[in-house]
Amino acid sequence: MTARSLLMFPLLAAFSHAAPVKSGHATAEWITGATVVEGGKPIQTGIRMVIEDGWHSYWTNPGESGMKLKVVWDLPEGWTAGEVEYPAPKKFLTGELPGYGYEGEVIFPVTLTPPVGASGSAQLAAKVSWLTCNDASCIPGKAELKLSPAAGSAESADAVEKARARVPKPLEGLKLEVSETADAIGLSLETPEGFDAAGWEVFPATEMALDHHKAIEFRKEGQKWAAKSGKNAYADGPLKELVLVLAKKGKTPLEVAWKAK
Amino acid sequence: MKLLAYATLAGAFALASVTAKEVGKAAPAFSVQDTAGKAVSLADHKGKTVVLEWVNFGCPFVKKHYGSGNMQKLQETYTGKDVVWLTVSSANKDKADAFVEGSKLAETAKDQGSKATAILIDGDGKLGKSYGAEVTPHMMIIDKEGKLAYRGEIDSLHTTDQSDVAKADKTFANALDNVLAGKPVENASNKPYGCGVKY
Repeated sequence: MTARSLLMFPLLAAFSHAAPVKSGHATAEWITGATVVEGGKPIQTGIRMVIEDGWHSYWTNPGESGMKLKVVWDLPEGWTAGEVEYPAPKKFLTGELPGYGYEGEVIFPVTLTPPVGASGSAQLAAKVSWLTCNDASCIPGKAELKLSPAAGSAESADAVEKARARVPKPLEGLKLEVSETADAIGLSLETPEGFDAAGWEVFPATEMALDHHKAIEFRKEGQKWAAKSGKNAYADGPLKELVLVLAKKGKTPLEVAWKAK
Repeated sequence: MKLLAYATLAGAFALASVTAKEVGKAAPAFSVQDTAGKAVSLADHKGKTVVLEWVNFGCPFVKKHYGSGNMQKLQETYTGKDVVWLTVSSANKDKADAFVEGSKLAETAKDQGSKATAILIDGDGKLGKSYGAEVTPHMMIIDKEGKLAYRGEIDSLHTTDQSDVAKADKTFANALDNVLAGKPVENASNKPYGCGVKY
């Protein structure tokens, strides 16, 4: 939009979709499919990041280096934001250090809830900061993103929904047990009938719990599935809890959690 | 038993030659050239408290601590307390995109106002690997008896944000204060944050 057209159509500018912000090696924007604001009715939004080829950014467990996404909300009175949700990551090496995160495009779903009496012309802001790395260097990025909550598009609604489908969810009948010896962590999965745990890629969501170098691979052992993992060098005493994410192409990613008794 | 376990796991545990569990043991000996071409060894500083600070001036986490003046202040404060502060670059000398040669590194450090005792060029990575230096910055403290007393983060907020320096718990500085006072170090071994060392 040229400066002149902004001047001619100030109202249009106020309601238009805010332009993506480029910083470092990624571009970020805040999108929604919502076209109406109703007090108390949640709105589905997403923080969309497009990362330049050859660079990656990080998951909630970034692995041996990296930095997780940081979001600071600047919302009008009464508006609340839910937790930022993370689609299942991929694993990569940054030099010699294993890490988990994203390449290309990723959308982090966030549910917003307006207060009663909220206006569709409310302006929401979020300060987002991230880190992108490649083998040679790391470059941080940050952006102040703006959202007009009723200025959504069907395209964005679709994109956010697809991203939400990539956020790991629990599965009925999928249970995790964890045991520990001096040098290793034993993982045992109870699964629903017909579930083949060997076909899934396994990511530890809990930081500093498991060794990140070797992939975790489940093998059938009787009625259950078993895997062994090294301990993370920085594990602070015996594991008290562990969350695993399981991902497989074409399937909804899964999450399974264990807590020590 | 543990040595055997590590020896049989190729590659992946190359960086684990000094593991979290080895804080409390004798710090590995070394002799490395500084930016002036002079050989610096741990033995030269026997009887003194020594700090090792892994650096890469291109790393945003290092920039956070130099840009805010935090690292230089720590260097000045503690060299003033007779601590030997050695800044180390373990970037592979054969990696053109990572290696910074001695005089250039010295110049950058000087421009940054570094108050380090010396800057070591660990181009073959031996020093870094013997201490398990993983990222920049990675902070290590060797006590007067030559034991590794601390290995870990510089502070508690794992971000690239300069404004977090004032808010963070000063993990490394607290550890150094305790070492100098002959007190036990809390949290002597913890996970650092930074950019991977370019071995």
